[in-house]
Amino acid sequence: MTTPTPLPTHSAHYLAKLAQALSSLPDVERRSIIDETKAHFLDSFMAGGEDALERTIQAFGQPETYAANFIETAQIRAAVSSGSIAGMMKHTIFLAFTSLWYFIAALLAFCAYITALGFALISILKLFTPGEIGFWMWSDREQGFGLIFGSLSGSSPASPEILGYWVIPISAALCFLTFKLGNWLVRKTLLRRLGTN
Amino acid sequence: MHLQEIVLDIESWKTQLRKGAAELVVLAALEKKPLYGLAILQTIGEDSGVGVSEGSLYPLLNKLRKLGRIESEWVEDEGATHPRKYYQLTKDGRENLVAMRAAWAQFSTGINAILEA
Repeated sequence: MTTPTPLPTHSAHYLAKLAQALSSLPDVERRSIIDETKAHFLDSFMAGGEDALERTIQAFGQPETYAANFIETAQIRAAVSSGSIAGMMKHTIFLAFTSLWYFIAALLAFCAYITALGFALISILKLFTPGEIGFWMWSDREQGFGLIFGSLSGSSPASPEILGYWVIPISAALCFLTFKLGNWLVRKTLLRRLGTN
Repeated sequence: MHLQEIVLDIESWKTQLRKGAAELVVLAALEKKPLYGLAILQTIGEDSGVGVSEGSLYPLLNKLRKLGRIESEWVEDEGATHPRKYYQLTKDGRENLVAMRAAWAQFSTGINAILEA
């Protein structure tokens, strides 16, 4: 290689700000992004002088905004790899504000998690208030048709409770399934953001 | 609707169009030989209207690399004052390019048919 060309000062300032903005990334990745940006600045400077370099820096945009692209991808990838529900939900909620598709996906995931919580509570409460938790179904002229899977409040229907303590494993299974559905929706949303469908 | 609002709407639509085509354009630019960042932009061309800028190119290359569609290595070109990071398509990237090219041809044929009807 020939002697390295020094960059003008303001581009060095840009790289310093970029390094700071990328500080949350692993060292290797941060170093690679900065080295590549610097190489691009050098190519631009050598091809067209300071004017070309200035245009290039403008095209990169603010270092914080430029860095945010890499950071978001890295954070989403880390959340998906770790399987952390809290991490994945956090990014899904951020994405919900960016488009209707993400908003609907986030809403469905939230509903799935709330439903899972409901089923979990049914399983637990059956142990403590067995008479008020269960599954009732009725169809008659006076009360019409109805079914309750969960908790009673107020007057009981005339029909007896159907499942007994079987409501515990059934609710636990439904809790597991709706929780997995919520996870699947969140994961699908984030993978779509990463470009993996 | 005022003219300014119409212009802003069209620009917003064009931005979405460019975003959708950016991956296809970058993969196509790398089809024949490995290139570094500035060379990719020069291959795409500033006047092409595709709108891949420095600010969007490297995040896209990063994403494509993590997806396994391209790979990169630092190369010290003869006579250069600094190493450059070259990108090239992987086997997965070539397969994606073929599929995206076919999908684009079908899409643009369909749209043109509607516009010319």
